[in-house]
Order: sequence, then structure tokens, then C-alpha cells
Amino acid sequence: MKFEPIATSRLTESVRVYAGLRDAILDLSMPPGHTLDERDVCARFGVSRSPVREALLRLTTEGLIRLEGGESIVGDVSPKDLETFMALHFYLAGMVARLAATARSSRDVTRLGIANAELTTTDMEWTKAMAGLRVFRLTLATASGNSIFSTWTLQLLDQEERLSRALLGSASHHPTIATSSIRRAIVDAISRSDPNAAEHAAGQESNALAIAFGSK
Amino acid sequence: MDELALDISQTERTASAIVYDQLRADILSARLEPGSVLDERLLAQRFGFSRSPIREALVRLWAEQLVQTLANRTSIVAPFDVVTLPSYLVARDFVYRLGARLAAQRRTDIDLARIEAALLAGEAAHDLNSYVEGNRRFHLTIAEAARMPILRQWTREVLDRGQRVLALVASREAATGGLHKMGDQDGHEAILAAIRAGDAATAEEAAGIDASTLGELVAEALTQAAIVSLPKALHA
Repeated sequence: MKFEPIATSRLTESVRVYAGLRDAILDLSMPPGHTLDERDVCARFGVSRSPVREALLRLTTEGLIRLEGGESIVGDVSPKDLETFMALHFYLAGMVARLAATARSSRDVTRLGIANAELTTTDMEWTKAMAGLRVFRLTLATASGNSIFSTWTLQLLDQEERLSRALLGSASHHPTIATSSIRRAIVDAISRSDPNAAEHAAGQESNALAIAFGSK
Repeated sequence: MDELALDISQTERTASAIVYDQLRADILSARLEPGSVLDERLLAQRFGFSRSPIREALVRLWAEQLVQTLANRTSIVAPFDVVTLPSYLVARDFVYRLGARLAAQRRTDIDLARIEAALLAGEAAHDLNSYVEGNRRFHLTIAEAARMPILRQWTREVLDRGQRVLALVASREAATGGLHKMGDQDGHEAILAAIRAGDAATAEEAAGIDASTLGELVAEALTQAAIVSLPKALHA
């Protein structure tokens, strides 16, 4: 195939628009319910419509944007979504922890320990806490050996970040530090290859999160 | 000027939807084989559209992991990866069980009527295609009754993958024998009964059994298919 410099730069543009919009949606600077006008987005990023549409499609597939009558609308973050999120989080985290207990390598266990230690020792300022949680949960999903669950974990992490900011954003510290001992229990169970204990501990972490969010 | 731009945009959207629907159906049914090259120019000719709606359809399919883009920007039908088969079976077990559990807790009478209708459609299935369609509708309707958009999307993903697996298996003639057993609807009836009774634990258990029965058949048929297709692969 012939090298097409125009197409290549267009791909880069699409990724840039995607990343920019994604950041804005996750940190809520682009508020839930906001209608994304294609022309506005084109103007904001100084690009043509094609890359903008590609970026919007990708965000739609990831569940951050929903389509309504041909319009792209930033997904909601409401108490109703919280209940849905917590139920999915509870079951998926339990399943991932259970699988990780049998599929994990010794390197996975080391990585999980490090990821949780980061969450315990750093000052739990928002951005750091969210980044640390991402590393921990994705390391866990990787240890489960199930690529589909990794993708779904990532989707729930996006949701978790938005819910955290919407519901707890006024707090100066992220509540995640409180659940560090529970996460250690998850890591311990996984290192002992005990699926039941791993699933149980993951459920506890999920419940602790629900309490922090005020849904329980 | 602006109105004109909007008109073009609407037309492109429709064109893109046509291309998307057709390619998606072709990929899921394995009419387009895994690894087939999807050339934008050829597709534009085939559909009689410009390249822009073609590209948009490909991006949507890419986002759904049905299409892959190679480093040289060529799009291909996502290769079917046997290595990910166990992941798929576990993920399917997960969404089937969770869907059934939550549906038992949350379903309305309308949901129940829809699930029943889907079950009946499945019972009337006489070939692989109508069976696959019936099974898809049954599990999507349950996911709908669970009232969780993300779970519905996950269920759809899993069903898409399953459809490709079945279509690929069925395309190997020698392996289709075992697939007739899949018309068996007892598993679905057990799920429906538990959802009707609002019994979450039983619904989940029945869904788990349903998933594992199909899983065994798929694994069995695929193993056969792999053996049957080996010479073809070696001489390719």
C-alpha cells in the first residue's frame, strides 16, 4: 500500500481529539449531560470533521458518550448510575480477583504489592489516587489472564473516576487510603492462590467504596 | 452553506450506517473471513459511496474490535484468536449469570413477556442462523431487564464473539454435526422460570449451566474444526 501522509496525520488528529475529550470528560470539566457539537469540537481542536467523528465514536463505544437523536451527549453521573456501577463493580472485581488467584504469576503478585504500597504511602491527592487505583486494578485484571475482563475493568475505572469526582470531589483527600488494608488482603489471598478469599476481599473493597460513595 | 454542510453530514451518516450494518453482518457470519483485507477504495466502489462513510464504518467496527488496523493503516477483519477462547467462555458465563441474577430481581411484567417471546422464537429455530438469532435475543432481553446499560453492552460484545465462533465452526462442514444439539432449549426454560419467580440465585445457577453446556459444545466443535482445517492451513 502507498504511504499516505495525509491519512497518517489525520489519525494523529483523531487520537489527539479523543485524548483531549476523554480527559475533559473524566475530570468533569466537560459536565455530564453536556451536548458535544461536532462543529464546536472541530473549532476547539482546529481539525476537520472526520477525526472528530472518529474520536466521538470511540468514546461512545467506551461508554463515556451516549447518542441521542443523532447528538453526542456526555454520559450521566447520577445516584441511579451509582447503584448500577456498584453492582457491576462488586461482581466484576470479585470475578477478576478469583481468576487472578489461580492464573497469577509470581511477578503479578510482586506488581500488585508495589501497586498497593504506592496507594498507601503517597499523599492521597486526587490525581495521584486515581492514577494509583488504575494501576492497582489493571494489574489485578492482567493477573486474571482474561483480556475481556481487562477491557471491562478499564471501562469501570473511567466510571469510578467520574463518580468519585462528582460525589466526593469536594473532599480534600481521596478515601482510597482507608481501603489499603483490604487491598492488602486481596493481594495476600492471590499470593496464597486462594480464590474464595480473594473474591471475598474484593467484595469487601467494593463495599467499602460503596460506603465512601454513600450508596450503602 | 451551513445547512448544506448539515445535509451532507446526514447523508454520510446514513451511508456509514449502511456500510456498518452490512460489514458487521458479514464479519459475524464469517462471510468475511478473519484476516480479510478491507480496502477502503474497493469498499467505496462496492457500496458506491465516497471513502469518508466507509472509513467511519470501519472505525466503528474497529471500536467494537471486529476490525483491526495494521501498522501500514490497512484494515483487516479481526483475526479469530483461539487463544482468547477461554477468556470468551469465562466472560460469557459471567454476563449470562449476572444478567439472569439481576433480571430476576428487577424485571417488570413487560420484560417477562419479552423474554418469553424470545424463548419461543428460539424454540421455533430450525437452523443454525435462526438458533443463533433466537439465543441472542433471549440473552439481550434478559440483559435489558437487568436495567444496566453497561451490562447490556458487555452482553452484546460476548454474543458478537460467540456468533463469530459459531459461524466459523459451522463453515467447517465436518464439524456441524454437534451443533444440532444446540437447539436444546431446556436451559433457557429453566432461566425463564427462575426469572419469573424472582429467584435470583436459581436464575444465576441456571444461566451458568446454560453457558457451560454451550461452552462444551463450542469447544468440542472447535477442536474438530481445528483438526479438519489443518491441511488447508499448512498448504495455504
